[in-house]
Amino acid sequence: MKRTIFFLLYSLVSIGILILALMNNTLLHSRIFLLTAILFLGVGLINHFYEISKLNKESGKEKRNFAKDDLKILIGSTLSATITWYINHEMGYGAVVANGFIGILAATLFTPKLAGIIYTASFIGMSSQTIIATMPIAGFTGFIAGMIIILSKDIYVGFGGKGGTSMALSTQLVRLFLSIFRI
Amino acid sequence: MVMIISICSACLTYFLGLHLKKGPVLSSAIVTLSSGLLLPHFFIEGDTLALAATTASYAAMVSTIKFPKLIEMVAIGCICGIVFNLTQDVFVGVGGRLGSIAAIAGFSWFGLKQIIEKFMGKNKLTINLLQK
Repeated sequence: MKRTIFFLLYSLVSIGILILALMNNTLLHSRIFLLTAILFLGVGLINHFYEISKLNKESGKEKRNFAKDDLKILIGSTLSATITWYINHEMGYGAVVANGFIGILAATLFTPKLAGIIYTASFIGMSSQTIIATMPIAGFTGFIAGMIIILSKDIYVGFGGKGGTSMALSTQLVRLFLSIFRI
Repeated sequence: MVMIISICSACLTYFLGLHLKKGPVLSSAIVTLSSGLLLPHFFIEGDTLALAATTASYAAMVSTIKFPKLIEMVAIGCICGIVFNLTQDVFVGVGGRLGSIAAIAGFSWFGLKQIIEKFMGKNKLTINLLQK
């Protein structure tokens, strides 16, 4: 059930981007391309949904305990988002350089799995200041992103952009939360 | 120019990650950092090209189970470049936007492969990709 919910949220982000682009673009060939992309994306997602369903049947109702590795993920994602934001905005190196630097550092110092999560979480720090205005908000978003990574491990596996989709989802959820409480 | 950079970035990341066994994170990070440092110096629209290269490098962080051939990165790079251009006004400033575009490119190509395999038969598609 949890996998299905996260799969739907991830799909919403992917399809949402294409639909918003469809609404913004008025040229016929652009719209045709976007509609075609939505079709092929849909086919790919349906195929992935069957994989997720198979996993749901095989794993049954396994209870997941919070593990030491999960703590590393939460700390890693929080720090990664914060440091990337700092390098991006406070040091002024820009989003791409900040993300690349953190990625190389993570790949050099940590295990491949943790490096992937740190690299992914640094996408949050690539946000503009109109989206994530301060470093504490970047850290908080990184923490939420870590939770989402832990809870959605099997979603979009094997596809590039898995991390980005989860980070976009985290960022939008935190924005929604902050706007509700007017922070 | 965006398309060329996207294709090169996707292919380079895939090659570094899977053929040279540097892993997806290090290869994507190398391509991302290099494009962020170099492209703005050589091209007027270098900042945009760096973003496109970054997006394509994320799309190439794939598993060989789903994307076994380097040639597939040409298709993914193409789709990435086009979607990047068409979604410039969507989720502006949101971290993860580029990665989401990468996922769209990957899934779209995967979906297209599924449709072609269904109509052509799996063996014929594999043979065609191998011959290329």
